[in-house]
Amino acid sequence: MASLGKTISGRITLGVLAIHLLVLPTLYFGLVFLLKESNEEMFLNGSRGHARFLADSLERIKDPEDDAEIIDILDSVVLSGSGVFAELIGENRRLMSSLVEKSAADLYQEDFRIGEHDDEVYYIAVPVFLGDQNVILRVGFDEAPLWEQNTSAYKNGLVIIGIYLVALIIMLPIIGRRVVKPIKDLQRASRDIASGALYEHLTVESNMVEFVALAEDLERMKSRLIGMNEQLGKEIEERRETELERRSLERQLQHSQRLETVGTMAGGIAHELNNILVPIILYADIAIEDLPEDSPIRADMERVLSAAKRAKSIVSQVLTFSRKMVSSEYSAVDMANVVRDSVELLQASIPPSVTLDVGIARNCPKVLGDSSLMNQLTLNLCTNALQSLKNGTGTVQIRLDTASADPDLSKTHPTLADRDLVRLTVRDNGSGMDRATQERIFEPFFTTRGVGEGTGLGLSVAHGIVSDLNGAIRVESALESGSTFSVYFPALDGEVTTSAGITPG
Amino acid sequence: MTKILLIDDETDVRESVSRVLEREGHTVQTAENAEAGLALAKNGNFDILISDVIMPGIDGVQAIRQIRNSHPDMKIIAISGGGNFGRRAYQPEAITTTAYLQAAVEAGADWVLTKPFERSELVDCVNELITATKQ
Repeated sequence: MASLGKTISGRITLGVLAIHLLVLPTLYFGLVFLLKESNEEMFLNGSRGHARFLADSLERIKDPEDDAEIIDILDSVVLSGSGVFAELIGENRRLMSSLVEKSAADLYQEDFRIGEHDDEVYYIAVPVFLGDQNVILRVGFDEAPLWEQNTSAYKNGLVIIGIYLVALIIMLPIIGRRVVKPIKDLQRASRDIASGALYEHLTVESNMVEFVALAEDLERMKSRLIGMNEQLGKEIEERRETELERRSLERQLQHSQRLETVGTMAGGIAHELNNILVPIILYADIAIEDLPEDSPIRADMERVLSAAKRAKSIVSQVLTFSRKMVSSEYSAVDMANVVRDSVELLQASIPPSVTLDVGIARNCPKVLGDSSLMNQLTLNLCTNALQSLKNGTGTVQIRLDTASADPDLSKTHPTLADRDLVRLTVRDNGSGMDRATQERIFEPFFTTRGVGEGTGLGLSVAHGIVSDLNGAIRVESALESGSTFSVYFPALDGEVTTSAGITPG
Repeated sequence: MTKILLIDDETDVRESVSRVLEREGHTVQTAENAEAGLALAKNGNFDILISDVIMPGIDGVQAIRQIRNSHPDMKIIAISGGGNFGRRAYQPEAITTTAYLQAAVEAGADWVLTKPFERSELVDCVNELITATKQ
């Protein structure tokens, strides 16, 4: 807890106490002074009244010379207890009834004020006509009860002030808390808002205008905060999306640029290799012809020839990946037939542990292309799927249907947006690929297969064919759950003019 | 006896192709570029021209076009290290070749061979063209 002087309730307590420390003594002494005054006034009035009454009684007696009667009256003062001394002083006589020492009583004729002479008796002298004589009546009253009254007034005043102070000290923190509570409520609400609980309602239990107004202001501030917060959130989300989109596009651009670079390089190398392979193949062939049937060199040369032919096949695939075809060579191709032919070829070569699940949608539109290339594309995708199967066991799903470009595809391949597409999907439940592999999967000679199991050209050839046909190829894969290759071709609508290929002359 | 003019910038290609054709009994003269080939074609009485398509200097397509103009009867084979799908190259419906070979055909080539061709492909192609000439 903060020290007393630093909280609002603490300051209120201290402030009120300070004011009381100044005001209370003044109040106390003033009060006691007034009480004393009024007590003395009453005492004086009482005393004077009594003395007057005594004087009247004396003036009424029949025989002013009868001392016994006078003494009786004087005694009645002392006996009634209202006075302690009564005396009649004439020219030649002095009558007296007294409870005090006579010597002391004789010292003064009359007191000017209460408490004079320290004798605790207040003397009043009244002139009385007794018969034809002028005499003086002196009456003394005991001051002690007055002093007692005054002392008890002091005491009671102190007690009252003390009770008031104690009550004040007990009440102050309670009052302070009551004053501070709405502030604390607001403080708690502000903290909630600061810590993100924006949708808590901001209330204050107070009917003090300032607090109600403050709560309203805070509520307004909160509403604006919520609005700004939402707007900011939206903007951040939009930027994040834009950034993601940009990165994805950049990635794809880099990817296609890399493929293009690799393709150009591969094409150049392939072209050179083709020139080199010409003499190898031709000379080997001639040499074989020249060698006798039983020559051991003949077998070697045959191996040279077959190796050269294998090289030729690989170079040819590299060229398929890198080559830019002339579109006029294409014709309308029915993919359904292509898929059926490819599946027939595959059925003959796959082990029984593999299931080929083929689904071909009815009335798939034709696409512009080259049936032998399409065949190769399908076979390459299927071969890749078969090789991905773990232990040579699993299912390869082949689907041919129609589709439309999703937003992603529309972005990467604007020519495919808003068109009917023919989609070939080859899905396996094999080992799948990690992200890095997916990135490089279409590069020529990139392979994850063991030595001798693949050249790493199948998918790059597939990519080359699809790119040439203005299609798109996409791969989705997750490790251990398999891969899906989807190929999209623009569907042909209406008549297609089949271009004349190269015809022998 | 068939006289064949062979233009190719690669020495190994020129020599190996010549060897194969000479063993078939043809006479072969070679040129290492289009300029030299065009000069030879002007004087020599060749039956068949075999020309590479992609060459430094005047390229094969231009050479074929000029010879087609000056020698309408000469049979012309264009060869190039473009794409090759084996014997399918002879089936019109499945022909795939580079733009260069396409251009060579448009310039007047009777046939195209994509490198590396096999000996039999080359020999068959030449023989077919000789037969066509005789008909």
